Amino acid sequence: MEEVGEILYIDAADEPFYNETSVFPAKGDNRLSNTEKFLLAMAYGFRNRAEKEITRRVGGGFFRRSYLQPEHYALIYSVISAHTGGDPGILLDQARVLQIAQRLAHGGAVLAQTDPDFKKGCWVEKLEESIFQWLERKDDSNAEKTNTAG
Amino acid sequence: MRIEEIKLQNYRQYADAAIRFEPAGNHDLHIVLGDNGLGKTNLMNAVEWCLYGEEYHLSAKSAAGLDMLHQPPAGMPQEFGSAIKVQVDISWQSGKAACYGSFRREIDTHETFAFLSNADDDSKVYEGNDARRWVERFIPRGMRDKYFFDAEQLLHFFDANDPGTIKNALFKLSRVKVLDTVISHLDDLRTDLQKKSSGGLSGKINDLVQEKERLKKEQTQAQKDLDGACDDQKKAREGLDSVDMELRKTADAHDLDARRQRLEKDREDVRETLAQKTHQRTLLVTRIYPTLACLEALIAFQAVLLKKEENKEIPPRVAPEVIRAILDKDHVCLCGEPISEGDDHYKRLAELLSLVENTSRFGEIVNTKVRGGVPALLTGAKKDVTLAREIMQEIDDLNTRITTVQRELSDIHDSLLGLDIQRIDALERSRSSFVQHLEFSSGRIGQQKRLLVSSADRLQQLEGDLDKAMQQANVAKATLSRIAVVDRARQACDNARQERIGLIRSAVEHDFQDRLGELMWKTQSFASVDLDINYGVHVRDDRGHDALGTMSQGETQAVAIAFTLALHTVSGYEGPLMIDAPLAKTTGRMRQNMAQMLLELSKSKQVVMFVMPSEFTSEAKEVFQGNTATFNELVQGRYEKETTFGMRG
Repeated sequence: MEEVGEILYIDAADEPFYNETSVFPAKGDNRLSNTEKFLLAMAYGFRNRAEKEITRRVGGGFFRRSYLQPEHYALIYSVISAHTGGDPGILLDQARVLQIAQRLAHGGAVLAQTDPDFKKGCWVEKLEESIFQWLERKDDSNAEKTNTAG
Repeated sequence: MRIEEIKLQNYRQYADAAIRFEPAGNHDLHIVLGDNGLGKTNLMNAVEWCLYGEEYHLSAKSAAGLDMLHQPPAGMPQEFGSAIKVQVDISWQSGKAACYGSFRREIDTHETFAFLSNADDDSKVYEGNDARRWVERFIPRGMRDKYFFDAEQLLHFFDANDPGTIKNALFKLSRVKVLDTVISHLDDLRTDLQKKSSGGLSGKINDLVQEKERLKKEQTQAQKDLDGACDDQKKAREGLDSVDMELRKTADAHDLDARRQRLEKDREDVRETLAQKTHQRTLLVTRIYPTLACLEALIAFQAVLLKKEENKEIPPRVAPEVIRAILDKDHVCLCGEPISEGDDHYKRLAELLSLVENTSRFGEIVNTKVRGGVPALLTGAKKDVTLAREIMQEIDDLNTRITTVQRELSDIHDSLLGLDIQRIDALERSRSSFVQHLEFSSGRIGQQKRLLVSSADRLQQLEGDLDKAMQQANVAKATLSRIAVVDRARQACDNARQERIGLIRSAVEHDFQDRLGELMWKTQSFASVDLDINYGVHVRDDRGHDALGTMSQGETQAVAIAFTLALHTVSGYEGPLMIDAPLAKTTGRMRQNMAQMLLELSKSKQVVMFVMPSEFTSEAKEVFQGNTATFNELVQGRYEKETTFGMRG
């Protein structure tokens, strides 16, 4: 069984993504932690099926595994479970779970950097738009369910 | 001048007496003979009292014991009243005309003194100082002792008359004193005139003129400054009016500008808030995105877990110690038979137990890491979405507000279009500058006006001073010419004085020499006379030795008379000579010579002698017999102390 590492890593090519201030404003106390940034990249990679192997691991790692909270695990496990076909048995291989999570985050970061909106500094607006589209769709879906039930 | 008559009333021995000295023949010689105590000396006193108000020849006893006023000698009644009166009638030649006058001094209730002029063309009474001026014309008071002598006085003539006194007398007699007085007066006059002429006047005028010029320049400069200040004031006022006119057109520009500035600040504030909100939105979006992006996976995962729980497919956790305990070789049996570690069954069992142990971890993972995670994520996402919507709304509001502000700013900009705030500020600054100029020029105008008024006052005063100074200068100019006259007069007086002194000295010496030659028969012992530089009198023998100290009393008297007569000659005052007891100190030939000298003297001037019978000896009689003009004798009157005059043939 693969050993679960204590440190999670990102690829060196991801650094421009994590340092982009239009996405992660550097100022202010209220900002995302590296864990949250990692989860954003992972979610973007999962959403766009962009898994990519890390080739150049950044030195000391991005964050410690111990920083992960239950909701972080819930997200990671849900994504990995869905990404690997829906079998939660994958969770028994924690090292693989985290490895896939790292590869999805790398894929998401790389993909984002290639997005023209990212280069224009309005990538967050694009995310925002997506969010509200999903919410509208969800609202429509709920309304439809209600109508059908009625 | 000569004495014609002496009238006495209630004067000492003389109750009412008069004695006339009429000239007769070639000699104007008059003898009054009288014993001691009959009043010879008092007759001379009476003349001096009448003329000078004093009795110079009164003896010490008489002066102490007899008060002349209202006190006639003892035993003599005041039958002629209480008034004391002495009158001296005199005569003099004025050209060819004979003139007469009378000095009269009288004491009754008070003392009076008068001179009665009986000249044909001037019959008049002079009193007080006017009368005294006539005395000075007759025999001046200062020369009195050179005309009224007694024998004693003659004996001590040179004791009493030291060189200084003689010089003084000479100068008095010869009018040098008068010249000295005139010179002194001229000097005083010159000093006064010099003071009046004010030596520094021209300097003062120059100072005043310079001051006037300076003031005029100051006035001109002040006027220029005033004109300049007026121009500045006018320009400042015009400029101020112009600026005010322009500023009136832009009355609310500043309000608009202030509003614009407030709006711009609001816009900045809104933008700052917008940036904060945008930051919050970004934060929320990046936080929400993972949950919503993976929402389906989450829901599916949660559904699987729920299903497994419902199906009880989630095994309980089997502790590793339990597995190890099962695999303990002492306990592992197959169908009741222990199996060893190397046995295949043992290995399969170990793998099976390991799988059980591993599978039991799934429950642990789900329970410890995932349980509650999905709901928490969804709940958090829901809250964040709500918050994001609020923020989105706020952002929209802020953007709307910015748009509104921007529109208002645009309106203000349109309102201010054509109005240059910087120009308005420049106009305001110009206005302040013009106001300052106006105040400054007004201050300057006031200052220059005050200066002009002050200068005008000072100039007026200065012109007054200058006029005065010019008048004084004119006076000074006239005074200077007067000073020149005074200087010339003084020079003339000084010349006359020097000349006079020279003449006096030579005249005195010459006349003295002549007179002494007449008196002295010892021509070798008393060969010559001279005056030294200090006017000391020297009688020298034929070898030039001073012989004055070796003379007898008679010779001394003769020298004194000779010197006195010389003084008379040079003085020009040809008054009478009155001598009391002239022959008393002489005897023999000397007495005869003395008498002869007096006789000779009477040819040229009136000589009145008061003689005692003891000195009127044969030597004297021989000389005087038939040569006297009058010969009066003092005789006792009706009373013991009364004296009257008796004529002798």
